Amino acid sequence: MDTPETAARPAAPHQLGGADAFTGPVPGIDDAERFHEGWEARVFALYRALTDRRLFTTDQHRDAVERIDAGQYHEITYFERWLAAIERVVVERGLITAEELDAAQQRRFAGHDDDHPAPPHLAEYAPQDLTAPDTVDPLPVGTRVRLVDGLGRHHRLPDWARGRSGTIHAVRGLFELPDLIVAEASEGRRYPLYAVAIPARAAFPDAHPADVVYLDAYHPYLRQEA
Amino acid sequence: MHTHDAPAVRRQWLTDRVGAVEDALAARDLVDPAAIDDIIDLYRDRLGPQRGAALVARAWTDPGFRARLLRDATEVLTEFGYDGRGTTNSALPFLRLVVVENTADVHNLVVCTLCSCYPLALLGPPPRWYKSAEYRDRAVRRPREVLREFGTEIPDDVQVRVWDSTADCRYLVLPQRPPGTQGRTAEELAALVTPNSLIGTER
Repeated sequence: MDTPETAARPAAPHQLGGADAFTGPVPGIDDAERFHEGWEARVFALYRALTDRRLFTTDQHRDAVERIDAGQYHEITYFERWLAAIERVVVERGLITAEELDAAQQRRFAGHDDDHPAPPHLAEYAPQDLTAPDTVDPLPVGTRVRLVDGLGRHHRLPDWARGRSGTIHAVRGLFELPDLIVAEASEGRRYPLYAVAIPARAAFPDAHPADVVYLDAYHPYLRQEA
Repeated sequence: MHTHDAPAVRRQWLTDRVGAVEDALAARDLVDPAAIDDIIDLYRDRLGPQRGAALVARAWTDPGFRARLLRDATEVLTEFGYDGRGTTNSALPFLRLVVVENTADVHNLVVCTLCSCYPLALLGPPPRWYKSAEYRDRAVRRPREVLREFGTEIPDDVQVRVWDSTADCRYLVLPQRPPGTQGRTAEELAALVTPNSLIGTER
């Protein structure tokens, strides 16, 4: 039964798990190359360099990827999404100004007088007012739980798990909540992260009866079941 | 006006955009182009599946190591200085590794359905198939079908465990040691470990 916590949200383009939206063969099974273009390696390394220096976080970058226009998300390549997200985050975070980026692009483009396609469109960053408990009592292994959405726009609960029940299989440690990191409301608070075991049949009726899906979920994404 | 084919124009446009954001950040001393070169070298050449294969081979030959790897892989990596060979990148502190073991009755498969979380501080960046919409969609729902595409048939009496690694932990599969490999050295065994078996698309 849907409760306010589990009511369906609009489909987000990154919520792919078990969506039955991409049913074709897995592409590139025999392709061992990690980077197929020089710029792909460079955008990957630029991301690593900036996150290693804590100029932005993985979650802020992912949030920007998730703000790419839903109609364009699958029309551009994986590393094009990364590039568009970096361009956006470095300006949003005030590392450089939009004018500085534009001027640097015009200098780079100057040697090539081609018509450029429009870059992907990203939704503007919207502040969120999130409330979260300061402390929680960790749940022990074996606890029966139901999975609910996270607190914010950028949360890490896959749609396929929403409303499903499972059992805590392991406690992975204490971590900051991505929802709060993106909302700049984390304040260093850390929450237990659990591996939750969900019988595959409970999530997908056509699954093999013996199979199990395990999901790492933060404490605020769980409700203890009786 | 030059004439270009569309892919070449697109490649130049993307290359220019990456260069531009790097230029603007470098002008404010926020990135060092030499450090970018080093990171590319690190993730393309120094990290890679060979590192995961070495862990697996050691686990196959050293039961105490295997037990500790399964109990707390992050601690094992830290203790053994998994990268003492010139890595300047600070990737390791962010690698919370969980090792899951295949047995006669269990097969493990790793996916990240929300993006592409992967133990890249150990194995390097993920391959293209791991990041594909098809793998992210189907691996969690139809793992046996996906495995068949990789040439891996899982018998009906073997349980498939799918790990959707969407949070802070990264997963590595410890495959079963192949039969008939008694007496081989860890180096010889490491050569038998395929990159796909470390994520579970091969058994």
